Amino acid sequence: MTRLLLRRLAALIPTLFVVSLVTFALVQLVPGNPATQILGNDATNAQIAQLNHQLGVDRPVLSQYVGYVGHVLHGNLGTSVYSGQSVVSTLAARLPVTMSLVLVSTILALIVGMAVGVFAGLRPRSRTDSAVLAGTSVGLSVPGFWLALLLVIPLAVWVHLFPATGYVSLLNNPLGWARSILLGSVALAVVSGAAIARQTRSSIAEVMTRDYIRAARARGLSRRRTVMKHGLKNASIPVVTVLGFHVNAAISGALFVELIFGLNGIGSLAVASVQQHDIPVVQGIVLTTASVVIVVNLLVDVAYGWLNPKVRAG
Amino acid sequence: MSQISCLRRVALLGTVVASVTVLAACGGSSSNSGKKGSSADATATLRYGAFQDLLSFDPAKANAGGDQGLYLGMVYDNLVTYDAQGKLVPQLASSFKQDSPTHYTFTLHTGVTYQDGSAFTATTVKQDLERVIASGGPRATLLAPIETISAVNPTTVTMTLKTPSPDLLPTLATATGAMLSPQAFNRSNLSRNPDGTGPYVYDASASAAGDHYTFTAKPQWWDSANVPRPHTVVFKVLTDDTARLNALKTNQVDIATINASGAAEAKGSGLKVINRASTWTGLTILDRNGQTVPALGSQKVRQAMALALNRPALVKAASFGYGQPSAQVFAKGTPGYDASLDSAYAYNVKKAKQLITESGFKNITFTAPIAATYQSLAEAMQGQLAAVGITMKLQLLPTTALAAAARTTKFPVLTFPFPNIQPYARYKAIWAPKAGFNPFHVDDPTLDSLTKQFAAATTTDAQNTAAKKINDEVVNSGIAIVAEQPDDVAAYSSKLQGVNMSIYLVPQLRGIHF
Repeated sequence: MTRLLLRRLAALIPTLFVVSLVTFALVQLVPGNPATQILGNDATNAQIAQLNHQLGVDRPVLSQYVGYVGHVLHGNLGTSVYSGQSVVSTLAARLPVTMSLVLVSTILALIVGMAVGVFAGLRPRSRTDSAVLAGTSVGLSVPGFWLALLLVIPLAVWVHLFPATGYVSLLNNPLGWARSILLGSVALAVVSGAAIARQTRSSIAEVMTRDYIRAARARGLSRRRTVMKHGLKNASIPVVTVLGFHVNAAISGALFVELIFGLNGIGSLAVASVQQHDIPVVQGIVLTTASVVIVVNLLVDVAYGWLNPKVRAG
Repeated sequence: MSQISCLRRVALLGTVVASVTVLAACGGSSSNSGKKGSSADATATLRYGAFQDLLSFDPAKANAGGDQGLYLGMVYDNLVTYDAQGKLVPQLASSFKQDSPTHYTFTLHTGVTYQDGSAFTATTVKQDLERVIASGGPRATLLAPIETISAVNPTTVTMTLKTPSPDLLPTLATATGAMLSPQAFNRSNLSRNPDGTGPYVYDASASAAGDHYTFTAKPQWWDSANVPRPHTVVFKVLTDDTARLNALKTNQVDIATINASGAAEAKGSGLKVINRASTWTGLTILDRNGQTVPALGSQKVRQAMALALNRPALVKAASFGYGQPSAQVFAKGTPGYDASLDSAYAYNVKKAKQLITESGFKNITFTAPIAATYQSLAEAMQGQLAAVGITMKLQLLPTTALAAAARTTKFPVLTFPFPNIQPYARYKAIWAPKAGFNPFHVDDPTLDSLTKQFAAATTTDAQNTAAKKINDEVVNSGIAIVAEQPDDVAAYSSKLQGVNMSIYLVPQLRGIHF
């Protein structure tokens, strides 16, 4: 297991390098430049050229990239060409919002998805099972941003159960924090929750027919303990895989949810930064989100090892 | 296991690439009078839904447009400012006058102090503006026409220009002219630690970068007897149009700009709506000499294009009725406005076709760049031009790429909004031989001469006369084919009073009270 962890951590460095290179190249393809955004339409071409020179964005692309990597290797993600603020402080202000959405949506998807999946899996081919399959099919096909719009109008605009916009810090007001991100998290969790429910349902239905389950029951273990101790653990491997995918999808999906709920997280920052050609901030965002995704994948691998001893042996 | 890991790596790369690709694709006002400060509710909190995040409190680096001026307007005052009617009026200057085309005199208010307690004087004005000029920053060139600034005495400042520059006063009214205390010049964190003479003090402890910014009333502000102000103002950053409207409807903010398409919904929710046309939009002819599209060099063709536009229909279709169906480039009440041009080029397909026939051009085709923001108007104009036999192809670009593309010779026509004020700035940006939006470097001696007359004028009447001639020239020659002057719209709580739209697409926060 230790070797597995070390191998995965070592793979993080080249992966981040490739990700930063691809991002840098893609941002270069976006037409426009930061000076036209900063100076506005009344600026002359000479003023634009002067500012682009000051910002260093008129240097050859390779030179810009090498300079950027040099700063990153010294632990400096640079400063925003637009606001002059450090990228680290900008990300630090935004990251809690997006991570709150990702974390809460993951917990919601996991708890609700597994509970529904186990419930249906223990009753295969029943009406309950059919209803769960139908419901999860709908859940899988609902776009998160559309669901977010559907949730915000009745629950926040018509009935003021939740705030329509804005983020409340967890440290300042835990209840306010929960209210500020719950609708967005639900919107992000539905697709993954439905996928987890279907995976759990199939796995439980299949695992419960195995000999070791019958043996456990024959030894006098209660149905509940049998499911919890033997059934759920073995049925969890595909669920863990879905969970890994969910985190990736939630980080991307947070972009739309943040805009709809007026949550100023990484997603809304990414949109603004790409539009403003703010390359240091875009790079910082991509490196940060890629790191999160890689760490989550690492945790998924660890979970595989914990759930399945064969993986550890391999 | 290995298959799953591989799949996840592919998914990771896919997620990153997809994310970046998606991101890359994203790329007659009503006016309410205020009341004296002493009678307003000075304990209240005003919550403004900002569509832009704060960039910088440093006047040398700040951007003048949109919400940026509002952020800076909380903590800074300017020598001059624009009133609700779009007229330049004194602010920290008690009066100003243009002695000659190149000489200005400002008389300053007394008893004004910066946030740090130091006195605002003619010397600090000189130091402040010289700092911006010396900064070499993006704003320095705006003050480049200044040759010398003199502090004649503690309350009198004079400025001598190298050449006549009608831009000076408008520039002094923007973020560039915000008066920063000299004691703050060397602050390392000036972009988030301002020091001005304005009505509020920035409260960093009650703010969260990128989310909300809080300002509390500055004790003993010099103009508090005349301008009512709530005790606290909070800017909540809400970049999405729908989110701002929802925040207004749920009483999370008191005032915000909204999309015109949401105005009816806002009214239906009991909110008040205010609007003002701050721009003109339509077809700006870049290839005025017909270098790439010969037909565009013909005045008859350009005039035919103007006659082909059904302006009331365009205002209804593209601006939901919020706009002025005018053919001119300047706003009512501002220098250069010509009432007769509001009805110029009345919709006339027959006459348009006749002019095209007379021009001798057939199968007129060109491509115009558009951004999603202006797509509905561009497509409506496209249909109306097609009715007179002109094919306008549209090429969709990211919003941020549009302005950059318009500075090249790739496109002969531009569909883009420009401010409907400040004739000299418009000339420099669009029509001057070296203007950014004159990529074909067309030299128009008539316009050059008219603009020189405008720059040389020292009285309001003379400036109006010269500006009106500029308006007449660009409209009649057909190089500015105005489709409409679309309104910028804001919605606000009925509890607010003293709400007016500024000339910068956003409401004027100063003067609003409960």
